[in-house]
Amino acid sequence: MAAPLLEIKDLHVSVAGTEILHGVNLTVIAGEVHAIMGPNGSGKSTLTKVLAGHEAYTITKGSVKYQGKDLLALEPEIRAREGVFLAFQYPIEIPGVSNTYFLRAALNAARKHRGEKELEADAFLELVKQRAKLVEIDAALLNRPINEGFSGGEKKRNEIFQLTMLEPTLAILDETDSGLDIDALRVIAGGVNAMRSIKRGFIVVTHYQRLLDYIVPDFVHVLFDGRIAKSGKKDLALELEKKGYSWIEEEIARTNPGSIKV
Amino acid sequence: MTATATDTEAFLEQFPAIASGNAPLWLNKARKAARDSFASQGLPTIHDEEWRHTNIAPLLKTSLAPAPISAAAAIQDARLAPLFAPVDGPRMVFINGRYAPRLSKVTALPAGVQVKALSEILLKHPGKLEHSFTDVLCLGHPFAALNAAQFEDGAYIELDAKAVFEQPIQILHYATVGASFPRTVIVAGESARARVIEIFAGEGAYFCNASTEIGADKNASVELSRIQRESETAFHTGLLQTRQARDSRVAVQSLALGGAIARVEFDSRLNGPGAEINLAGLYLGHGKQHLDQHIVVDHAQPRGTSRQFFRGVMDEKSRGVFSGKVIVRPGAQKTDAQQQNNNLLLSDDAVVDTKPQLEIYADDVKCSHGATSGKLDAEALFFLRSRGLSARDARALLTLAFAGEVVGSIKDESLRGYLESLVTNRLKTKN
Ligand SMILES: Nc1ncnc2c1ncn2[C@@H]1O[C@H](COP(=O)(O)OP(=O)(O)OP(=O)(O)O)[C@@H](O)[C@H]1O
Ligand SMILES: [Mg+2]
Repeated sequence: MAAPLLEIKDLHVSVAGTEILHGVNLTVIAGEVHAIMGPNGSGKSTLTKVLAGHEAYTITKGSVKYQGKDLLALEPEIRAREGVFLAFQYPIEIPGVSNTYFLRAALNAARKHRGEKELEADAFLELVKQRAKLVEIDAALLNRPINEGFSGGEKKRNEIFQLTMLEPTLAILDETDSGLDIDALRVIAGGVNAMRSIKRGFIVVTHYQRLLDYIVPDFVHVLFDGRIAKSGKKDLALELEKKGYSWIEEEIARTNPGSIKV
Repeated sequence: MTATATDTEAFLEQFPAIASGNAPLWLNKARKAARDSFASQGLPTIHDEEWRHTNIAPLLKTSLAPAPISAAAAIQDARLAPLFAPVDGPRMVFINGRYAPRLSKVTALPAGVQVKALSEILLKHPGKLEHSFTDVLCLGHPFAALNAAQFEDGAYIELDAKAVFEQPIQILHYATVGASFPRTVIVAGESARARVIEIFAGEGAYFCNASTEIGADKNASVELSRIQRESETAFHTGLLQTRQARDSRVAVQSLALGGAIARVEFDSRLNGPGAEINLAGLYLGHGKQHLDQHIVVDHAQPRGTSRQFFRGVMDEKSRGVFSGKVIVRPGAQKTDAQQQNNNLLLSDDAVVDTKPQLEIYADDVKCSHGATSGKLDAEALFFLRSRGLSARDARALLTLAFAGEVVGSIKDESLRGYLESLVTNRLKTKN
């Protein structure tokens, strides 16, 4: 078996003095798509932000290996340049910073990190054109400041556009489907699918099975109260859609009484 | 409360009173009245409400004897050229407050446009300047009174009615030593249009005490870029007075980059109905710089519009001050006044004091004001880093974006580029 792209072991994470993740284990092999589902507040976004290197979170126990390296020891920008990409659940607006200007800086930072030459303006614009077409994002949006005045759906589309530009090795999508209309969902899933390759791994956080019809996962995990409570194949998502999360709670209570906080 | 009378007296003694046999009698009288006014107003101290945040004590420790005439001889064109905006148009240079024709280039002016040294106007058409000394007591602006008493020369720009001059007229005040008192008078006749760039720069420790007046007649339009890039060991005080008639428009961009202690005062009066003033300011402090902006916009007539949009970026141990006031007089109905001040603190030791104020005596008006100060947004920083930008680049990008909004809306591309490069270069030196 190939060496894992990502290996999370017994990860405990606190924020503002409260433990949110209570021992997460997850292994992603390159080429795989893992879906993470779970109730509101169960720690999905926390997990994604910890992987991206947000400094508000304290790792109290456990380890994360990315391509064999200690991911947690790397600054967020080094993680990015090494190929980790997080599409945020709530993309923020950054007035005064042009989308394309920033993206070119980001792309060239990664290229430099890999010892490649910086992309010339022409080649960069060509790439922008091509990827903008892939995710059907309006060219006018790209010259505006990052997400400023974008609709909710446009912001999500912009995240995926950036993903396709930066071509990460580990792509983490946090509820990219929320707020998208049906056509947009199809387009964006198409963009993600175009990026799928045996060299790339995906973690897709979602509340809806619908997304997984388009981006078909290899595995589905349920994050419940800071732990992966259940893992399965695509069918698990269908089951969750039908039955909700209460049965998982019952199952945990049955197999591991006392582990659920009231 | 004022500084002790002896402080003021000792300070004033450094500047020999100017009275000349060649000058018109009214001017000698005005200088004397102005000097007396400064003496009686006294040096401002932090006990004066309008100077509460700006302590000029260090100014008293600097020797300010007038610069010798010879000091100008060493200044060469090559040193000054990079200080100008890279745009075509007339250029006037003043060294230590004195006109330097050798370094200036005033040619090819269209009909109805005058660009002259004040000294020449005083000699040939002294009557033109009398209006500039009607309010010579400068109550509330002691340093402006001092300027009226002590100025040696200055710039005089006049546009006849309907004259339009699109090229910006650049005025460079360069100082090297002692105290200088540059004075600029801009008169735009009915429906005239003028653009002026006034640059303050220099080297070493000195005191530049400037006065600029803009008079805009009916429907005239005046644009002024005021670029304060003094030496960082210098002191700068400046008063910009604007007097506007009906339907006139004045737009000012004020950039404060230099000076150990630098204060700019805006005294804007909308004296005719429908007048409009747009004040945009950016102050960028680092080291131990103290940068003070003090603004009063006075709506005396109906249907006036005023905008104050000031931003400060304070780094290291610098201190910024914004004090902005809008006065709406009784009868100035339909006034539309906005005032906004935002500050970015890049270090824990940087400080900003901000005080936006409204004084409204009319009931049918639209006025708003707001002030913020804070650090760079942590989530924005994280976002940029999570895409691969270094922490340093991310900070620089966000800082530049914050500052850039003040100059970003300038239509003239080369002027905008010039101002943006000043901002970029300043912010780059630290980050
Ligand atoms: N910076 C923070 N400060 C305080 N509490 C936090 C912080 N970040 C997350 N939390 C808390 O951690 C818990 C998990 O939040 P998280 O955003 O990871 O949930 P989620 O599974 O992504 O939920 P959702 O499905 O609603 O997006 C929540 O109770 C949340 O309030
Ligand atoms: Mg979430």
